[in-house]
Amino acid sequence: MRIPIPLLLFWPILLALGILLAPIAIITCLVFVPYGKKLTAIKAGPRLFSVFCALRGLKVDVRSDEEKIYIVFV
Amino acid sequence: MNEERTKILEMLAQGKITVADAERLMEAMGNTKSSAQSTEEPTRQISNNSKPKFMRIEVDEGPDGDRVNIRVPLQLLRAGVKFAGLIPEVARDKVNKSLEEKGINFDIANLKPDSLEDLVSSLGDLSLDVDGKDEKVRIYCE
Repeated sequence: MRIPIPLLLFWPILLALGILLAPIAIITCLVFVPYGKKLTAIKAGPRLFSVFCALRGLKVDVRSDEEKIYIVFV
Repeated sequence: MNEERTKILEMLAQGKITVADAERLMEAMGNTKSSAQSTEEPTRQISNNSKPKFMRIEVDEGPDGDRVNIRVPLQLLRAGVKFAGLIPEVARDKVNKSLEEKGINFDIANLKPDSLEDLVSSLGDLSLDVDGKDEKVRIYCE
């Protein structure tokens, strides 16, 4: 199994998800205001996004007699 | 004292050159040395600046066994640690407990983005080779 995953293809999906989730994120921030966790809720999105961006270059190559797995993020 | 300097002093002693000539020659020698040093320094700086970008984990269990080759971008490590900073305290304690159960006595709260840079830069020197009977494990940064 050889799976090269181009991150470029995920950008439109991420954009659509971002637009869809924006109201939920705003509501979550408002809910967390009394608990003092507003900043945490705001930071979570960009940090998750940076994790996604950092996936570029990740390569997993496992080869055994029965199966071969090759996943690379390009 | 190097050879050229000795030669100049010998010539001065033999009266072949004057003190002024010797001084000029010494100065010229000093300039060529400093220019040679200045040309060496940038190359050394470049080699120091070339930070590792990936961590490689290779496991080879011999001709009949499995082969694992994983390349992890160090940027992912950085991003992961920054993301882990958002973990709530309750969940952090649970993670620490799970780590302790696995024999890893480490508090993830101590892993901060500021100290991470030092860790990542020192990872460049990391090279771990384990040669077993049938399997080889190699961990290094590139």
